[in-house]
Amino acid sequence: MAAGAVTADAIANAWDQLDTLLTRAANAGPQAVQYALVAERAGLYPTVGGDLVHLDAGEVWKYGISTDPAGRYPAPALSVLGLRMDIQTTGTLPQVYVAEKMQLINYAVTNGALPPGNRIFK
Amino acid sequence: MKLRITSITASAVGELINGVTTALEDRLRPRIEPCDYGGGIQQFAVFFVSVDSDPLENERYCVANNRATRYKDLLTGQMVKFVGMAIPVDPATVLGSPQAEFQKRLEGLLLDELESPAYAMPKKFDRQRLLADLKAALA
Repeated sequence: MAAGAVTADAIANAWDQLDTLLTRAANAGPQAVQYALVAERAGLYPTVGGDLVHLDAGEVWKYGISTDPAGRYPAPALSVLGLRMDIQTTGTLPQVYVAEKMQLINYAVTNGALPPGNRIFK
Repeated sequence: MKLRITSITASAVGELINGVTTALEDRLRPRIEPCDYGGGIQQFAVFFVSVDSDPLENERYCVANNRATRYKDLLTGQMVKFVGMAIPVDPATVLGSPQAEFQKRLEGLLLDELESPAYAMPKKFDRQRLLADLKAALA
């Protein structure tokens, strides 16, 4: 057997471990959501860096996740900034973190920058 | 008193509701915003909530917004005293109705919710006058 080679049993064991990880991810802790805060109208919107940027209606201002979506944003952000909240994914925390990361990567690849309301690849 | 009409929705219905809420806001603002409805309330915020066809799940997103409180304006840093009102809407209704019919339905839901005695508001806030003004603007 070559150095570093693995047995069929080891592969089967790894599949079992992966299955366990996926099961844990699907049952880990409280339900959470991944959301987008979206511009309702075309216009200027603030960035987290303190600048202003033009967004067309329907463009994303921020991607985020929350275990308390009802309390997290509505009054301050939705009332002041002219945004609406789209709930894009619901699931466990690991699941919505994955969804958020994928949205951020997709946005950054498409636009060359993060959404104006996101400071970092969280 | 400033008026805001916005939404918390599932992605599939966000744009459809947005078309109605922005039009509704544009129609109602000229009538409502020059007025003072008392109680020191500076903003009336309406949230149409259309996340889930399960009423209990939809209600989860309504609870925190059915309240009168203050929040810090993210742009000015000033505290704003506001009344929030969340209105649940079944996403299936949004997807299954022609736009004009759906718009009328949201207008009706807004008036019904404001009229509902189950929803408490600050005592000095003249809810009846607001209701009358909204009805007149939507007539």
